[in-house]
Amino acid sequence: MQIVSGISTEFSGDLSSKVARYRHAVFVERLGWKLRTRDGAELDQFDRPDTVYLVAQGDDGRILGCARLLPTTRPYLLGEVFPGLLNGLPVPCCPEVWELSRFAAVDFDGRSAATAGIGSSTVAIGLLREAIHYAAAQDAKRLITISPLGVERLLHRAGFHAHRAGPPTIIDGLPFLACWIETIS
Amino acid sequence: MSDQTDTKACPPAPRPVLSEDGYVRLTLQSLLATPLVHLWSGLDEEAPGPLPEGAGVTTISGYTEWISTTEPALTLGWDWRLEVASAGPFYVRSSTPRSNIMLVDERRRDLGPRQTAALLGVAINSLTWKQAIHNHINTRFV
Repeated sequence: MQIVSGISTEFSGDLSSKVARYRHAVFVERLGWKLRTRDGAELDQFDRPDTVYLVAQGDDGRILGCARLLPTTRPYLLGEVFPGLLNGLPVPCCPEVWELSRFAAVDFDGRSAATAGIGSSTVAIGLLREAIHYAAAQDAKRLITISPLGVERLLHRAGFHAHRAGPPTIIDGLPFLACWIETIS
Repeated sequence: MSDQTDTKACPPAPRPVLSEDGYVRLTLQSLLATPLVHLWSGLDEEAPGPLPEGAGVTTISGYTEWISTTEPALTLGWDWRLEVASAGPFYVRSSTPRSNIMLVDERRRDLGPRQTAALLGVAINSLTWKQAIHNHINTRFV
């Protein structure tokens, strides 16, 4: 497995398109999230030229997982769509905080064990470590993420320094919450 | 939790404070005086793939979520699994608590994540969570 990270123009070939189709397969088809889609691809208003992506790939090139990083100094998912998950705190807007979203690690070839509907824990942990490493290199001290409970459970089991930003909220029948992840342990 | 603490001889606990880092800071005394209500419980998904003929599910496990109705809201969740003994099945907590709580001492100094987690485990034991999970799962899945 290898993990590549960067903005979309730094990726070779059609990797960005593959990621959008992979996100559609995971979030829309498998998890049933009601997201904006087009021609079998899932992209939203936060997929911009400055958006950072992390992509885990198998040796044969198939996508095993992905994640998205956004600085909170520009519009981001939690700040624009789910500010109510912050328990009454104002939404972060500073260079020290980045947002992690669209996090998944599902191997559709079925060679990885599922973890709480999110996917392979080995791939997931690798992606999380790379996300923290990338954000820390941009001088971020913390990540904020909105995620299903399964991601938070994985964070704790894997020993990441994370805590909740507020109570879970039921969205489309499933509990979601905002979670802080420290980039410096 | 509120029925577990005798507050007659104690001064009133300081109000919980929502900090910029997302933690609600409060003393253990204040936590034990705060009622928590059951929000949600769920069962873990089985690993993908068909079971061999004649095989059964070996482990039943899941998670549970509790919240306060106070402001700022407290949130507390943990994993559980169902154990089987000769006296019958029973639930055990199988993870450290996940929360937005940072416990502080009387001088409002952080106890830190590790000590907070240990004390939250004690606080969880004061909740009637096993019956709540049992009822919730029976309602949703049976």
